[in-house]
Amino acid sequence: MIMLYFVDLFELDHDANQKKIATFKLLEGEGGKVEIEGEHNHPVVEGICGEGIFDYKYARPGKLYPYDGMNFLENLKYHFRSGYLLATDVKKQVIDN
Amino acid sequence: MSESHESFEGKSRIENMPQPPVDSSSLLENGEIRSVKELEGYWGMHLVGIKDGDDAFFRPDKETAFIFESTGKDARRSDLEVVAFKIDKTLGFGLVPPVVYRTVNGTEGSLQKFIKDSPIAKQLKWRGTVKPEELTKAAVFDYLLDVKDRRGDNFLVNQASGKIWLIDHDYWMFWNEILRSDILQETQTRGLNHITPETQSALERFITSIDPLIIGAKSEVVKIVKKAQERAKLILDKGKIPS
Repeated sequence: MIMLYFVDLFELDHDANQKKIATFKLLEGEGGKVEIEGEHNHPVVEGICGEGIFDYKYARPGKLYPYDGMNFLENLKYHFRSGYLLATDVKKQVIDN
Repeated sequence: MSESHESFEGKSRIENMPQPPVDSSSLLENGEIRSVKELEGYWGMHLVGIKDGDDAFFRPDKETAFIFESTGKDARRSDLEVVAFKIDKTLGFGLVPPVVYRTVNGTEGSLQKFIKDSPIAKQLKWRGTVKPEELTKAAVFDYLLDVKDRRGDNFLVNQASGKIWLIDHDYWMFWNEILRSDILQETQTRGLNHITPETQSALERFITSIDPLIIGAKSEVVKIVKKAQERAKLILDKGKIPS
């Protein structure tokens, strides 16, 4: 059994409907890099992968990128908090191998 | 036939009559709630439908209370959202969507108008889309409030008009020292930091109008408003937003 950690990212459209645009996944023991499933070309997804996000949780200087693994995942919910874009907390799922 | 025609003209006249302006804040504060939909995501937000009004974001204070408590800040997210709106209103900039205190389903928080026609700036090439005068006003606002976390995810831009809407006036916007305002930086880079006579008047009006913003307010809110007052004086002294 291995553990999958993931965060879903949602956007609100003009008609006030939420749509999932990406899932950020971290598989235990896979080198600690977050993989992205969904709209890779969405400007918001491209933005956070290319420009990185700040470390809101520990207020450490520098930016976090998908290769920062769990630190990146844990900070997505702080980065997106307006309602127009929202991320879930880190969720866990057990995978049978 | 004639009766029908008169009736049509009568309807037209009524439709063309000037209508009283709709006060968004009043509707948000007192309007009948017709729907409440929980949004997926961490912060427990809801989209609230107001009868005869727009949809609005409800942001419950209890979901962010732990951040203020753990850092000893005497404020709630709703206090910050509302004071940012009031400062913007006093300046007359119209940059912050209307937001009010409201209790929804027994939970206290803030209710802010959902701006349907303006996407998150990150979704556009916002630097080439925003109107320069909007950028300068937004930079003045960000400088006054000393906001930190103004990225392409924390403001909206109307593609057709180039208008800016500033959102997310919360803990990290005011107190995270590692962050910065992209709007302020862009304004400085493009040399758009000189103020117009209209902005000068707005700042002069703000400096003499802070009492209603601080009477009965929480200590952190008072600090934010007084700092903004000092910064407004600085801008007026220099004639531009200091770098």
